[in-house]
Amino acid sequence: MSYKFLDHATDAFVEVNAKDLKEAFATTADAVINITLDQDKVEEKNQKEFSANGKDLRYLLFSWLEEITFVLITEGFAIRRIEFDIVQNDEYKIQAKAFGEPLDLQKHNFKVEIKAPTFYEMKIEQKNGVFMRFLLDL
Amino acid sequence: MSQRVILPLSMPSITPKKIAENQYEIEADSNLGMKVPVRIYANDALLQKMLTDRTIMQAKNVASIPGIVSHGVVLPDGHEGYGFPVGGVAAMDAKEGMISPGGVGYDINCGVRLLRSNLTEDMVRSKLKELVTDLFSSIPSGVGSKGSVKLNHSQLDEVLTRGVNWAIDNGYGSSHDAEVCEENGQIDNADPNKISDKARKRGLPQLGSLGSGNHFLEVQKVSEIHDEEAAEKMGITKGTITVLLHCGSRGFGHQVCSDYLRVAEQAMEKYNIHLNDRELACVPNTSEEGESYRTAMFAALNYAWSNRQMLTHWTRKSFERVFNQSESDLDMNLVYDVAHNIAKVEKHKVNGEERKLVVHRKGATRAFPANKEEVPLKYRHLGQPVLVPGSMGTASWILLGQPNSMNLSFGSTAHGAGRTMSRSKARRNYTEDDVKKSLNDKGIFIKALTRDGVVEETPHAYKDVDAVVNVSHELGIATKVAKLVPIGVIKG
Repeated sequence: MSYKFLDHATDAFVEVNAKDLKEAFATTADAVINITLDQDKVEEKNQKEFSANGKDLRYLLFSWLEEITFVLITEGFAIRRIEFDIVQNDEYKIQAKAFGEPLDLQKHNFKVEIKAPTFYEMKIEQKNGVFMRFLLDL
Repeated sequence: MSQRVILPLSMPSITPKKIAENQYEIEADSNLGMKVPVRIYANDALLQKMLTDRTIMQAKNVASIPGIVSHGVVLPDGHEGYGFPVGGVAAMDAKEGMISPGGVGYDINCGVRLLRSNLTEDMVRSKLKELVTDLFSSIPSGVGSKGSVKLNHSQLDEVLTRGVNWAIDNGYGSSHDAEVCEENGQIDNADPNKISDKARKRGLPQLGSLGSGNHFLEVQKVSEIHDEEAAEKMGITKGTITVLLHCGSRGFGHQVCSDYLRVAEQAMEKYNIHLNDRELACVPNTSEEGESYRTAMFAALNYAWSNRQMLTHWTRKSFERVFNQSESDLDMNLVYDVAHNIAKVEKHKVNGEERKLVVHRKGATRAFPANKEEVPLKYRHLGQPVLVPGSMGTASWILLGQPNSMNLSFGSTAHGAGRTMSRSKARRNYTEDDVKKSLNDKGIFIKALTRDGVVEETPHAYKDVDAVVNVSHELGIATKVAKLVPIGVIKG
């Protein structure tokens, strides 16, 4: 389970490799959190529930990236860890619980606001594990 | 309407043809689905840089969108983005063509405004640290949930429909400010009913904030005058102090774009538009979805104008405190306010025939010449002022829109220096101390919210703004009026 950044002039172009879908979404969350702040400096003091959904996996990923950014930036909640489950019925849905504390720019070494996820060259492949690629507008 | 557009995702080698000095063209390749050629306005060095990343490939993809007219434009500051390149213009036929949320981008009405003053460098130098510190503490970054003003939903609706005039009516400036904004800072037909709850939630706490990333406020001195008549009309004198502000519609605009990107993507099937890259998603300009996006995007334009107006007010108050004089004593008038992420229907001549076009400017500044009715009365006989911010620590420019912009670039020019180095590479190669020391050596004092923000915005990460501006000047799309150099920087 890992993520890396591809070279891009302005934005965060991220690739994720994981053993399964759940691990891929967990790694994706780690990438988003660490682009925004230092995840290891966050203490687990409170929790916050949120959900993401999408008609397919790409829409689910877009929504997941969007919701984590919303919790971090708009709600000002620094995230250490997320517990979640992916459910597939008519569409995909993630019900999640984030553990962390109110964002402290200094303590958590706040880095940059993610403006939004994009569909640009987004890729999700499921064979021998899961590969994801996406770009976040910074 | 049935269209199938195949867009390449690999990076084939590209050889643009030089068609004139500072002008290159890539012919329309129908095998790639291109409807029109791509014109690149750059010198050789700027062009070579564009060829090293995805800029040109993205411009070719844009040239494949149904209804694009005449040619796609890459300006001298062009660099790779996502979907559309940044520093580009795409004009679509208003009846037959498309409107695309990605062609405006996430930071709707990201823009620049410039304030003048009668202070000289000497007067400001002695109080520079005090001034920059005061500005830093009085201009909210807007990160986290702590807002600067408490708005309810009906007040937000007023912001979304009245733009800069909402701010002025609430004590953040005067009507003179509105007179020198693009669209007078208030665009008609913005519809708050087309805004999602999520965009409202993101917008409510962030009105009146600078943001992070490449957004900044700079205290500058006027270092060179190139056009005396225009400079005088703008109130710009060599050696005096100006303030330049760069920010947009914050999380509100980002969410409007995200929301309508999905609307457009899901509607494409209905309109038989097939694109390989969902980020280029577009819908017919006259469709219900196109109209909804436009009126929502217009609401974000108004949000951004209100936002910049509030920051302007706090800037003036900060100067008043530090210099113990009123803003009218300091003569802190707004020179102009430009939008550089925007799409509007405008009239342009195509092959001698006047047509209505949806001009998408993504990282591009309108640069209308004299005598266009869209140019504020104060400047109509001269041409529209254009503000081109450089990177933190290098120069910025005031330009003047010229007739050739109507012939070459749908009335547009560059919007900045344009990045040339990724944020991660900047972090690998420079430290906060390196950047602060090099700024300090140039006599620039900086206060920043984040350490990484300083490093990522190192001037080494950007192209040479002077080279970008020279191309615009030599092509006669927007010509030099004055050069501004920073002495103090506030970074979100």
